[in-house]
Amino acid sequence: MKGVFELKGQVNRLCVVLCALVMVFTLSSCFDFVEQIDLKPNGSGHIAATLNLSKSKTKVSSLMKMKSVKGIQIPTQAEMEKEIRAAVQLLKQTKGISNVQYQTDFTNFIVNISCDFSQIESLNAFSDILANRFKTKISNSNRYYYNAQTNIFERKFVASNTWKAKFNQLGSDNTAQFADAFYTQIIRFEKPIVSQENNKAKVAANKKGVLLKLLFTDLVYGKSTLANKITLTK
Amino acid sequence: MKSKILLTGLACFSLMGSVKSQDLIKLIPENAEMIAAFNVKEIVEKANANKLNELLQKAGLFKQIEKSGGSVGNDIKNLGIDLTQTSYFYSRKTDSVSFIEFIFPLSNKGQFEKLLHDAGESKPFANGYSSIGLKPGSMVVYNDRMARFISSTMNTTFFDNDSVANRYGIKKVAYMAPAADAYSPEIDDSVAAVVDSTAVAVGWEEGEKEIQPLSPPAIIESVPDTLVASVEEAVPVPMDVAPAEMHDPSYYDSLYTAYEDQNRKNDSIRNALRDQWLTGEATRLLSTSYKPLSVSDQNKVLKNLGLIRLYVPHVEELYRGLMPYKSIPYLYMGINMDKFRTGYQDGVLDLSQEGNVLKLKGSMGLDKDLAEMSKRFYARKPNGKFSKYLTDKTLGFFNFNINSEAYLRDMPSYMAKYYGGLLGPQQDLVEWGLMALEVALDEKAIAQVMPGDHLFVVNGLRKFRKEYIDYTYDDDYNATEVKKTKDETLPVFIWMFTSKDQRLIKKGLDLAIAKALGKTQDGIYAFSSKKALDFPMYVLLKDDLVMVSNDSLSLHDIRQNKMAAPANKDFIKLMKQNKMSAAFDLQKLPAMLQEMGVSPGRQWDKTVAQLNQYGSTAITSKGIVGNRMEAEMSSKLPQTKDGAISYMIDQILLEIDK
Repeated sequence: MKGVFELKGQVNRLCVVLCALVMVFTLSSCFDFVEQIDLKPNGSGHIAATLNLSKSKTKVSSLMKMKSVKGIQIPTQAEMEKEIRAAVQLLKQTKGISNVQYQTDFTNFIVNISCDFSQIESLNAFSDILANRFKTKISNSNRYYYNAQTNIFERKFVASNTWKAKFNQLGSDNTAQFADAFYTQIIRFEKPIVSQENNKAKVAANKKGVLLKLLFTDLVYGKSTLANKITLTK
Repeated sequence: MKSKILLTGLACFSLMGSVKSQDLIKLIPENAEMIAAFNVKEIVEKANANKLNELLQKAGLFKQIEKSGGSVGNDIKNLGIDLTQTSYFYSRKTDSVSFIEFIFPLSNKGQFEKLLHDAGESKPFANGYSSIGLKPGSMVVYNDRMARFISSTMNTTFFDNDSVANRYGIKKVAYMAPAADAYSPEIDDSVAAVVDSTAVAVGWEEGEKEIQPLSPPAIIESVPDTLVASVEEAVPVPMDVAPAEMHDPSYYDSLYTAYEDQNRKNDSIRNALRDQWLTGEATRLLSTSYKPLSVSDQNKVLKNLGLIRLYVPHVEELYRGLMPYKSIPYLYMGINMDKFRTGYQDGVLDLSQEGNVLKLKGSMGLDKDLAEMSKRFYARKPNGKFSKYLTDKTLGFFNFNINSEAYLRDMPSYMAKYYGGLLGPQQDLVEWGLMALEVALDEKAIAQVMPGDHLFVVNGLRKFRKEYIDYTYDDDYNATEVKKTKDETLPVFIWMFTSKDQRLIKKGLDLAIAKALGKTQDGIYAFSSKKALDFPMYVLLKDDLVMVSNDSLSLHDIRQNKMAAPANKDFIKLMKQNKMSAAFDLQKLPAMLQEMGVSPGRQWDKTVAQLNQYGSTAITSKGIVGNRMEAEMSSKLPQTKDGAISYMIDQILLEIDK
């Protein structure tokens, strides 16, 4: 019985945080999510995920001074930090993930979580854990694959209908409202890139990095995708 | 649920009775705590009967009536209720039970009876009335002229007193009482006693249990230990029952079963008492055993009745009744509730309509001392110069005026007199401290620094430059954090107050500048923001005004007398005529939100867009008028043929249709 109440308490807290995050995304409307992956030839590497809300810090700060908005309880800074620490703890306990670091800046509203991974499957676990923990899954499918023999790195991505529905609930003109919200993905390799298949991605001058910067709304509505297949030299 | 819908619908229409409203009000007992009067005729006229029919039809009332066997043809006039008179609601409380009653006149008893067909069979009751029992604890009694819905609720703390609980056969149970309780022969007897006492308890009249209202309950005298001792009453475990293993799940199961069983028995007793007392109350009401509401209270309910009036004859008693002064924390803290006073007498809340303006007006009677003191507190007018800053750009404002000198001088004695009882054992010490404060403070000097009139204004929008963190990438896509700036459109706030002696304020500002906490620019003190939302703060001392704002440009304009915008006469009038006033121009809100880039969400888009047609919403208070404190809230809705209420019903109908 006690366990049920504890679980319920955790779920309630989680709902608070996730609702607040949804609220922050939708009401603040200007933010950057930056994902940087450094991949080694053996499939291990380093990932850093950064959520930067400083463009909307006035609005976010206003939101956090309120107890609730539209019936949704706004968590305090302490509650948010607690949830982030819990997510970090989960990551530390995940097989294949090590050296988990995190930083929070509640003046500029920036959160950064990074870690090393020993294999590409652990990278998938990292994404899943964060997305599940904060219920911010914007895709039905988000998977990384790497074949060390063929030197092909692939990311599969399918946008989630849930986020599309959430965005449709907002004001009539979403495009203008989210004109300054971006999802940026940077992947760096040790071997040069032969080719990549996302027409919105750019290859670095040293041929060892790919940058993909997309409007968040395009991603949600499926107009653009994070999916890519990158072939490296052998 | 059915009866709730029916009664809600009846409440809407009960204002049209064939019985005169003055007759019905005489049926309210003089010790009613709270009385509401519904001027149905006015409501139906202003709301438009056809729209009301449509609303109730869409809310499902008529369908519900048809299901229960009645037939009203989707028209409230066929409910059998007189919609041309006033109906009433009131509440009354004793130590043991609380009653509420709803009285409404009938135009056709037969039609009304058909509505309640599903609820049960009508039985003759008393004094020519028939009755129908509704959900447990409530009933409706009616004759040719009127119907009365009566409901009773037991007061949860009544049975906390052991002697009262024992009197009715209610046994207190604790979840972790020894399992042997279930097997104790003493308990067996008491169980039988409980079963039997249900019948006995029915014989108890509610009135006999009535302890003097508001007098301290006996429990105050008891020592907390006695309470604990009286609860535990360890019952010895019979020798022939082996003590259960503490970790045996069946031990806890048996405890829980015994606990639940006793709770059920206790509930049965309480419910039987409640129903018994309800019947008794109904009998007394119908035989007019109670003294009716005094003539002066009747006048206060009926005089100049708008749409709905809520009247509380004794606010202080109601307030004290709501406080759990019987609870142990209050006993432990030594709080003497007898000494707690508010100084409030009666209270009135009125809802009325004037064309497209809806008004909610409240007033509270104050005792002589409090009225005199309050008049001194609010003896201050707004600075005449405030008017210059209420312009056609003003989105909203808040003004209040108190007399600082009187406030500082009288507040200590006010606190001691009215709230002394709440201080418990610390009362004397606190009163001494307040007296010392009174002696130490130079009220006149403080009043020169801040006499007490304030104005807070939101004067349009301005672009503010804000810094944020962004990222740049080199050729190899290595990210670097950079600081960038962007313009954000935010409201401009100005807070200003009169200060005749600005030396202290000026010295404080100069000191802050000297400590490099800020700087001066053209006679304006500037303090930069530290965190995201904390705006830069600017301070200007001009004439006898101190102004604080988040916008230096506005203060520059003020300093150089460049405030050229036309005056907002409505706002100025509101401010000058009241001791406290706050108003917001809803018409400006849609454009303001759009300029700020704030989207209310798709479901609110239409509502926000409609705000263009609204006028101002205002809250005002004239302070103390006679011996009454008065306040009013008004909202100017879009102009329609039928007025404010009709417009609101239209909006509700639109929502239902969505």
